[in-house]
Parts: sequence; C-alpha cells; structure tokens
Amino acid sequence: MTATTIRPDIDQFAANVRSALKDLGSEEVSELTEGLEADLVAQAAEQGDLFELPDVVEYASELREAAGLPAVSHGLFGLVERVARRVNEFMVHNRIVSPLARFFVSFAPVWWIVRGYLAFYVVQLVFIQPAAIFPTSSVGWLVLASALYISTQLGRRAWNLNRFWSGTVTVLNVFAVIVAPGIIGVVASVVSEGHQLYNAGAVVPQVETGLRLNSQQVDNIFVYDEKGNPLTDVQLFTQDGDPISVKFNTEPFPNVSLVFSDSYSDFMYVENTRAPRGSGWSVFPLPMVPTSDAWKVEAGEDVTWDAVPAPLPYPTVPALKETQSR
Amino acid sequence: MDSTQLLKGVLDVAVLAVIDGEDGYGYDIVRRLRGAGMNDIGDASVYGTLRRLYAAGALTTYAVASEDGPHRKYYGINDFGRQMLAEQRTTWKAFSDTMNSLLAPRTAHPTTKNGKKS
Repeated sequence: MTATTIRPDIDQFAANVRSALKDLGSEEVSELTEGLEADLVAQAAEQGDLFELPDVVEYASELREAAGLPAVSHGLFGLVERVARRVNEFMVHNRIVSPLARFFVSFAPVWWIVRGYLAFYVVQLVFIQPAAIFPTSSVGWLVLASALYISTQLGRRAWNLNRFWSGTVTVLNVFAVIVAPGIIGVVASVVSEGHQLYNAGAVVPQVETGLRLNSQQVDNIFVYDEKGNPLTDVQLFTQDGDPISVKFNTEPFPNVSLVFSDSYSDFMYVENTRAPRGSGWSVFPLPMVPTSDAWKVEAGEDVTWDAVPAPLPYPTVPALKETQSR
Repeated sequence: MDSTQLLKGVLDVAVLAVIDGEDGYGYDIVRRLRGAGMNDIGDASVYGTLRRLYAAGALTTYAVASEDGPHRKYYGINDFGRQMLAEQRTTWKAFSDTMNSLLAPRTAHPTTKNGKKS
C-alpha cells in the first residue's frame, strides 16, 4: 500500500523502490514495502539533518535478499521468470481464473507424464529420424523411462534446483507447451490412421518374421549336394510355392540381417545379389558384407564387390549312398 | 572480521527476540536492534527479514494509523514464532559455547620437538 507523507523526497524514494521491485508482482511489492514511508519518516524525524536517503538500487536489492526473494534477473531466463510470476499471480488472485486453475492443477501428474513423453519424442527427432511413437529398442525404452522419471521428479519438486536449472526447466516447460500440440497431433494421426487400416483389414497383427528352428532364429541356410559338397545360389520354396525367406525386420537397417556370431561380428548377411532386389532372401547361402556397408545397402547401392561367402558350418558333409541303377 | 556477514546469519533470531518483548513497527525494530549493539545492521535487511518471517508464519501484522503521516505496519510474534525463537536460542547457545571455547585465549602453548613454540 502506498501513502503520501509531508516529505516528497521520501515519497519519491518509496516509489522508486517499488519500481525497482515491480518484477516481483504487485502483491509481493505491497507486502514488502507496506509501511516504508512511515518507517522512513520516523527515521528522518529521529536523525534530523543527518538523515540521508540511501541508494534506491542497493536498498531494493538488500530488501529482496533479506526477504529471501530472487534477485533481479536479466536475459531470457529473467523474462520467462517475470512472465511466469505475473501469470501465476493473475491465476491465484483472479476470481474467475483461480478456481479453474486449481481444477487444472489437480491434473498436474498427467502433464508430468505428457511432458516426459514429449521429451522422449524430441530426443528421437534430434537423434533418430523419423521418430517412433513407441520405443523400438532397449535404448529407446531407457530414454523414455528416464524422461518420465525426470519429469515426474521435477513436477513433485523432489530436487532442490539452483537458479540456473530452475530457469532452464522453466524455459523447457514453455518449449514443451509450444511443441505439445504438434507432437500430440502427429501421434494421434498415426494412431488413428493405423486403427483405420487395421479395421479395413489392410494391416495384420505383427507376427514374428523370418525363419525359426526350435524357436531359434535361422540366419542362413547351407545346402550340400549328394556328394557332400557345398552348393551356392540355391532357391528354396515351401510346399505352397512360397519362397523360404530368412529375412526378419532389423531396425534401424531393415535391408540387412545382422550377424551375432562373435567370430564374424564385423559382417552382416545381405540378400543374395543375383536375385531381384527384395527376393534374394530365399537364395542360399546368403553372402556377407562388412557392417560398414549398412548405409550403402539401405541406400540401395550395389555392394556385390564387398560381398564375401558366408563361412560354411562344415567344409563338406558325408556323401549320400549311391542310388541303385537298374 | 566483517561483522556484516555474521549479522546476516543471526538476524532472524535477533528480530524474533526483540519482537518477543513487545510488538513494533519496522523502524522501531531497527532502533531496538541498534540499541542492543547491532549498529551495522541495514534498515532494508531488517524490513526484508520481517517480511520473510511473516511469510514463514512466525509473525502477525496489523496497521496502526498515525496522526502525522502514513499508517505504520506493526509486527507481533505468534506461537510458531516463539517456538522458532526457542529452537534458535538453543542452537545459538550451543554454537556460541563452541566458538567461545575455540576462541578462548590459551594459557599454555604446545612446543615442538626442537623446543620452539608452535
């Protein structure tokens, strides 16, 4: 509350102090400086000619510090802090907005989850394009879990942040609010589109692809002739005429099949290059190329010259019995 | 030694102590603190501390009209403030005992092996 005195210099000083504190919001300024004029008048009356008004900036700064209020902040953080403080003050004291604000505050945990998911999605956009709606790898799940944990802890104010981190979180919150509609729109669109395709029968539930033997993934097949010698470029089909393919989806390189053997960890299987592109996964044995060629394969480049034969499980196998000729 | 930094650390308990005896307005409390020997304390530091203690729930406030100028904002201590004061008195007593013991002049000085005083 402001008041006038018989000392215009004191009135002006008090006004200047309030102006120096205005970023704190009107209520805080009022609480902090109420009675200031009366105190200064009393001080002036007691000290007489010795009374001297202090420096406004130093006085306001001392007042802030002693009251445990934040110092004047400049730059982007300062602007965001001031705006956030004003918005908060408006929401707390406005008769119409305040009940609504309290209602929405009860949904804060939902926002913490959404914010964590947004962080996960943005991290994907930056490091792995295009971003997936759900994690497709253990690292992705780890990033999502970490983002949700951090967002929840920040929401619960579980950590005592210093001014820098507090300002950073405020800026990131504003960023999250800005990007939220776009990302939620994309996710909703993808989910809706997938649902429609599923209903129309265009999408079948994901099943394990590739070839398995006793639940173990078959990465390659080696064929031997009647003499027990290895064959190359053999095409295999099922009883229905379907090619027997060992291809399974391997992110992030869907066109290669990674080798997990310790001995050949620097190589990966690719489809047989003698077959038309996309149908070489049923022509055996599959050749191998260095894993450094993964990007070339994905880009559709010819890697025939880099290909090497896959190592045989056996150089030869026992020959079959001779057939009896009549 | 710069006593300003020391004063900042004990201003809360000092303010609570002077209000515990009698309610007072801002400058009145400054005057009492200075009268008790805290001459270096700044007005704004006391006013800010009063605001912080009030926000912490340790003080009550009320306005008193003044005939010759703007109204004065008086501060009084409440039960929580008295509890806070009692706790801080205990803390201060233990701290000051420790410091007094540490800073007390020593009567005998230890000597090193070669006979020189350390």
